[in-house]
Amino acid sequence: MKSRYPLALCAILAPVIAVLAIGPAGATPEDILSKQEADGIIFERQNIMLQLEKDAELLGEMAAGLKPAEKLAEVTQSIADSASASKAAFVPHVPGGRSKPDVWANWADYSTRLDEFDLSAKKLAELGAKGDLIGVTNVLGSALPCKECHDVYRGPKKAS
Amino acid sequence: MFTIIRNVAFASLALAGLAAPLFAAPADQVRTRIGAYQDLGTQFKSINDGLRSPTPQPAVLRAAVQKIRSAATQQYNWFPAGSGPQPGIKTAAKPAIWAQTAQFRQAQNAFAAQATALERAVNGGNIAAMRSAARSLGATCKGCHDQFRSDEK
Repeated sequence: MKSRYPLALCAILAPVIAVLAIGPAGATPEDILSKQEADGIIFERQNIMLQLEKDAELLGEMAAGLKPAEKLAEVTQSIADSASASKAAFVPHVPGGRSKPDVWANWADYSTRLDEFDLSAKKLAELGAKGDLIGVTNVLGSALPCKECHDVYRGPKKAS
Repeated sequence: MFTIIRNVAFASLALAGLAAPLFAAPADQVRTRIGAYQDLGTQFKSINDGLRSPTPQPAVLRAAVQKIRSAATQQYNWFPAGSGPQPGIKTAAKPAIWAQTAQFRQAQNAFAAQATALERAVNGGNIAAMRSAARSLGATCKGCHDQFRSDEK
C-alpha cells in the first residue's frame, strides 16, 4: 500500500518552499532581474523620493509663511501621489541606491510604515484641497515621517 | 573700395554670429544645461505618473516622449569644452565628462537609443511595453548619473 504521507508532505512544503524562494510578499528575487531592470527600478524609487523631498521642502516653507500657499492643494496632492507610489516602488527586492538591505529584511515593518505614510499623506491632501493651511501645518510633522524611516532604512550618500 | 570694406564688415558680423555660442559664458552654458535637464526630468515624471494612473492618457504620454526625444538629440550640445566645474560655477557635471569623452558619448548614445525605444512603445499603445521602456530609459539616466554626475547637496 502506497503511503499518502509524501503527497501530504509535498502539499505542506510546497508553499513554504515557494515563499522562501520568492522572499517577502510580492518581492522579486534580484538575481532574476538584469542590471538594466534593477537600475530602472532604483532610478524610479530615487525620483519618487526626490519629488517628495522637493514637495516637503516647499510645503514646509508655505507652513512657515516663507512662501505663498497658492499651490497648497497641488503640493499636498503631489505628496499623496508619491506616498502612494512609494510602496509599489519598493516591492521589487532590488537593493541599491541608498536603500539598506534592511528594507526587505524587515519588510513587515517597512511596508507598514509606507502604508501609514500613504494614509497620512491622503489626509494631508484632503486638507490641502480645502485650502486649510493651518490644518496642514498642524499635521505636517506626523504626516511626513521621513526622518524616522530614513534613520533606519536609508544609507549615507556615496562620495562623489 | 567701399564695397570691399562693406563686404568684409558683413562677413565679420556673420562669422561673429555663428561663433557666438562658442563664446557664451560658461555660467550661461551651465544654466542652459541645468534648465534642459530639469525639463527632461519633468517630462520623464509625466511619463511615469501617467503610466501609474489607472487611465494613462495617450496624448499626454506622446507629448512628453516627444520632448524627451528632442532632449536626446540636443544633449550632445550641452557639454561644450569649458563648461565643467570651475570656481564660481555650480554644476553637478563631473570632470570625467571631458576626461572620458568616449565613455560619456556612450552613455549619451544609450539614453538616445532608449528614448527612441520609449517613443516607439508609446506610439504602439501597449502599456506594459511603455512601462518596460520607461524603466529602461531610467536605467540609462542612472547609469550616466552614477558615473558622470555628483550629488548636488
